[in-house]
Amino acid sequence: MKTHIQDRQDRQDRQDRFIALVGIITTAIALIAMLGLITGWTILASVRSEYMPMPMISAIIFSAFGIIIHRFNRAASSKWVSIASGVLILIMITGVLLVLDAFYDIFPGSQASPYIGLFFAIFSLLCLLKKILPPGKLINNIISITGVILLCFGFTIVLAYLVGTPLLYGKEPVPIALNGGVCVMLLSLGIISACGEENVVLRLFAGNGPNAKIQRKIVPLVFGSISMGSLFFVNFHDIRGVNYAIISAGGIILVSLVSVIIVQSSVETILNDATKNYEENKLYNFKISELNNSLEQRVADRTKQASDLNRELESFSYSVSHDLRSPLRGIDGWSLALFEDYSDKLDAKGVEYINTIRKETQRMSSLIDDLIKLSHLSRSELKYSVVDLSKLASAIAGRLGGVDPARKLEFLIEPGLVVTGDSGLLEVVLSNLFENSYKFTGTRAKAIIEFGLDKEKEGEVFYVKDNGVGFDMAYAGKLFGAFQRMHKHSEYPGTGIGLATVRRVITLLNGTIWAESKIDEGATFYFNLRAQ
Amino acid sequence: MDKKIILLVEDNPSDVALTRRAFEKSKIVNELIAIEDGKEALEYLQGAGKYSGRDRNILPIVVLLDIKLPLIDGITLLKTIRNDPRLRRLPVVMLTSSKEESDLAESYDHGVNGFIRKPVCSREFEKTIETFSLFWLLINEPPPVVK
Repeated sequence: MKTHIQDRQDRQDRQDRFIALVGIITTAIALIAMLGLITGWTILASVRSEYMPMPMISAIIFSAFGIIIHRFNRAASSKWVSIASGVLILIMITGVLLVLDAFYDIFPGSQASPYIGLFFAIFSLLCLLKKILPPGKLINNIISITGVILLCFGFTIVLAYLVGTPLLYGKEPVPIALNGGVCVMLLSLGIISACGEENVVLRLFAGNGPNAKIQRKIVPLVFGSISMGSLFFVNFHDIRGVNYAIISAGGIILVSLVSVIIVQSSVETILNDATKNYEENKLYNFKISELNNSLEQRVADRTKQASDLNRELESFSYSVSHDLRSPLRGIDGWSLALFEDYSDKLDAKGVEYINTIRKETQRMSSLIDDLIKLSHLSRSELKYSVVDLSKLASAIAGRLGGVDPARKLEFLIEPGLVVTGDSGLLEVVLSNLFENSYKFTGTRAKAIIEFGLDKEKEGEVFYVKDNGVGFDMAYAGKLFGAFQRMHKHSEYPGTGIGLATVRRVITLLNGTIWAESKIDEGATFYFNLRAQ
Repeated sequence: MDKKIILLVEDNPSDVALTRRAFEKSKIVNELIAIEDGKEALEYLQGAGKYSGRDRNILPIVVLLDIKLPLIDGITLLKTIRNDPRLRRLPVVMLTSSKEESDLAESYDHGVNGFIRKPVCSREFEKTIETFSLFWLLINEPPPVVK
């Protein structure tokens, strides 16, 4: 199946070939006429002996136009462009002079019509405009519409010869030659095509739309049948013994036949198009359903992989929770037994070592607990509901306030912040962030912990802000990693899992979390949640 | 009155020794029988296999059961006990490192009488054992034996 772009490129190529061909034919007609004028075999210049021959000046100008049009849409060197522009200006002047000649007799005995002079002037102006002005819709439309007028002018001349009406090809002062009319038509078609298929005229005929297809059939048929009909009428109306009624009847039959053909061919065009569209749609639909099927398969595969992985993770964390704790209990138990049963054989240092072993055991134990909590989070299913974050934050603040009565705390919680989310998980987020702030404001005379909605940030961005010790933004990347700690254990104890847990939860809720801080100037944690 | 037996089903000898030590420290004088796997524990209770000579009517006052065990795991053993007409009333308490929700749910679904999570801190563990013994040996009325 061809792509739209290929199709367009093909059409562009066809147009370029058409313009080149039009140029060649025009030049050929003009050159033949010239040959006839030079050799004295004037039928080459006049088509029929009783017709007006093409004058030498017109032949020269038409052949020049033909060459210019032939190369119109091709890439050209600047030398060529300047020569062509010079020739066009010269032709324009000549055209104007030919028009003036009708009034002031500039060229005594001139054989060229002032009408054709006008054509020369206008056409060379169009070519110049098209070449000089930057391409644009307006200029293309103006040129192509003018082209249509010139085409009608050419057709009128040809038709005038066909119906034998000298009036139309300008009997006074000098008539226009038949081949001149043909050249006018060809050149007009060339300049219209040069304006591209987007121009107002060509849009009616070019492309694969049903309207263009029908137009391409109807226009030649109508103009062709009228021309042929006229020719027939002119040549046979004065034959003796042929009745006008018969000719009229023949004309009516001809017109009817042409109408039938037009209707038939239009309907066929539409039907063909519709069938083709239907077939293409069927093909597309088939492809879409094929893609959908493979997508469904892929989703199923991935889901299975994910659930396999989840199961593996589950059994892993189960083992962790069972098997890692057991040796720890052993270490603690036997250290205690050692202390209880053999403390008389240990000095103070030995006893201190035992205490250190037991303290470290406790730390390891809380690490394992936190790890298991973290792994539980990714296994739990989300339950969405409307959650009042402000209420949640106040409850956490109340709890923290009771931990150490000696500490001075101030909580600033913006009321009425409601979101849709999993309330259990959101509590994990807020309590971890609050506990984090609580911990790192420990050295402050008065800790201030804020929770609210940041109106300056785009979207719904919540924040938890404190006036604690803060952290160095250079390490901000490590902030949310599991077991990553930003401070010495002796200053701020912890497992380094709290913020990792927060990020895990926020990710589960399709949100993002980030932090801003300066050392000793507090920290602000921002997060958003995308509603489901 | 006979000394009431406590049956501990636990595969880790270190854990068994520490548990035994905790019982001793709480001044519990009852006999603590420790068995390392679920299959043997079942044979003990049913008086089968290695224990075919044992009086089947003497049942432990309470069974302390670990969940992760070789051959027959704790939950399966619990199920078997509850489905055995002679053993179905036997008090069983899980004593394990895990507090996985699935383990808790399964244990209670199959009629466990208690679920103790072993604390890592030995002092706490001793306190736990003391409270446990106090309840099961002194406060709680044992079920009548199924004849």
